[in-house]
Amino acid sequence: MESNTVISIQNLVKRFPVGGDFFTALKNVDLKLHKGEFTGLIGPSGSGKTTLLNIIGGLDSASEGTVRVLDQSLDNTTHNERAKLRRKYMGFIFQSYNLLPVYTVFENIELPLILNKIDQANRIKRVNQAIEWVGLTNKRNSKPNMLSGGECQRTAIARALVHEPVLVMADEPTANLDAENSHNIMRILTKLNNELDTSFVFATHDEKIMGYLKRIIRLEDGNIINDKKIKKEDV
Amino acid sequence: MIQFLTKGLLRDRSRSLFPVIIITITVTIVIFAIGFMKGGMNNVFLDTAVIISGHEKVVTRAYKEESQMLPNDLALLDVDQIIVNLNKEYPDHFWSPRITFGGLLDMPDSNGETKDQGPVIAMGIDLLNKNSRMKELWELENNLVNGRIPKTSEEVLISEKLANKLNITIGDIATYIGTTMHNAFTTYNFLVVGTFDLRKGQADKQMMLVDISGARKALDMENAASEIFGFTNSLFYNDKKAIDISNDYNNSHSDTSDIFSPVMIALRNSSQQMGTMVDMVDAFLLIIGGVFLIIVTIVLWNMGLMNGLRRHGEFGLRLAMGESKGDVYRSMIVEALIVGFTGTIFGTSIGLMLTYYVQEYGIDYSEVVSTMSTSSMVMPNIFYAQITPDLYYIGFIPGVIATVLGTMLSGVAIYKREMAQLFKELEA
Repeated sequence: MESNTVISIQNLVKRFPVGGDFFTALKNVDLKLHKGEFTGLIGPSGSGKTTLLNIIGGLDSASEGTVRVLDQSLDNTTHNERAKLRRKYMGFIFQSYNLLPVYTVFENIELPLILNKIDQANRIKRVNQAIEWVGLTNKRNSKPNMLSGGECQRTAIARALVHEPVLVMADEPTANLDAENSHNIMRILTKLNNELDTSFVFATHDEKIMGYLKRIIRLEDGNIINDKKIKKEDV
Repeated sequence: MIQFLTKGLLRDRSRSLFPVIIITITVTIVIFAIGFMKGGMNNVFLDTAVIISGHEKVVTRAYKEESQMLPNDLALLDVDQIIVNLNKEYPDHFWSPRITFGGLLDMPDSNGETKDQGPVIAMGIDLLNKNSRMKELWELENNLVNGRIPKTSEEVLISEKLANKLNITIGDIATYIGTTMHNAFTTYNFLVVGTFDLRKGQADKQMMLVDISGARKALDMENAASEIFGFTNSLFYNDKKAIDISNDYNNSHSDTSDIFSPVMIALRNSSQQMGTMVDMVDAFLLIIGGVFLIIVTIVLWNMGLMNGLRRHGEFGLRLAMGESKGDVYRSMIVEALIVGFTGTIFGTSIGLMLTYYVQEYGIDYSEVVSTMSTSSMVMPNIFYAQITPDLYYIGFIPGVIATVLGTMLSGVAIYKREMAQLFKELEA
């Protein structure tokens, strides 16, 4: 990895065909994210947050420009190469948790390790550790339907972090939670960001999150209109 | 991953239990319906074969030409040796001699004067030989109305209809009046030991059953027989095989220039009606069986399709987490195979058990079919199912192939899935 740069984007343009024309969702975006950053992509709906998150996660490709994630260019990569990148180095947190209902908390968290072909003894150790991170030790054998919204999201966080990825992407992770649970979740994520030195990128417009972010990138109509690093004293 | 997916499969009833139940029920119905249709049709053939034609029968060329006249003067000779040869050449069949003869049956009173008299069609069948399956084929134990089965060559069974017509009671002496195979006049006394009812309409209206040794004595037909009937050991009629066997036999044993040389006739060629019937049955089975199979295949295809679509969210998550499209697709197929095989094995087992039960005990339709029997085709009154080799694998067509194809089709959506929409879809 070049120095501690996790994401390097230059002149990124993303266009979507709409009818016979094109809609430009991202316009000449330049961006660098570094290891351990706790970054929020902030902006109204349609500003390009999720599109940028998709491109960083290798779920979508750029129309123009270059995108390097973890020192690997995403230009001209195959689906399988991008899947491998996500599997090994990325974690995802979704607004609606997306836990698999038939599996227990332990098993849901175990999935990324299975996909990465980690042996069973190691899996058990790492899942237990991840369960401790998010404070769900007493819920390890519960199914998602027996959990509260906050507990579900904590499970999703453990699942996103259990394989100790370099980068975690979260799309509106607190949108379905009340204020207390939102703060709990953000406190857990901040703690893990500090302990594991994992980079986080949030796409959100939830004001409750803002106070926890170390860097806020504001998007509007596909442009970065503001990129501000928050000093500790600001937080 | 396999262990992980298996755990999910076992816990998620809508992915495992319910599809397995649907496949089991569907395959059971397919197996039983096909077994019952085949068995039912085979019963029609078998009853005709038992009374009229065998699955195959051997006669002399001359007898074949005049068979309507029951010309025993044209009967087969040296029958024992012919049967030995037939058993050797076609070991999946059993062969039994038959003398069919007509005449008058005279019932004398205590003074020896004619009390009643009427025409009779008599069948000399192999009743006394302990290895003979004729008692089984004629279902004599079930069809006996009064008395017992003959134990000697002088004893006969009279059909209940004929017995009523001629006022015959058990213990009466019945005098057969007819001609020997040498066209000499003959009278022969038989002791009536029982009456029977084949319950096949008018087929046994004038029938008398006697052991072939008695018929031979009465007609002076030592080691001779009108016909030699052949039946498959399983009693299941295979039209193609019957034709192949008869062609094979005729090519090697039948001399077209010798009217007394033996000729083998397959059931379908025993009468024009029978040939048409066999073709109709084949077409019926093909059409009904085919349509039925297509319908259940579509049902299970659709189930596989719906099952794949229902898990759209789970597959999206796995793709987002870095599982390759190929791996997700393959896991779907493996699951469909497991579910399909499990349901098909259960369905085939239950279907075969049901079919076996109806094969053994049958379903009685005597009231319905009693008026449908004709002189050249006998309708059975009890329909039996029949387990045939294809029943062991035919369930795999809807159970496994259709389920997997449906899943494969729904799985194509994985490859067509817009990865850029995953976040939006997973938030939905």
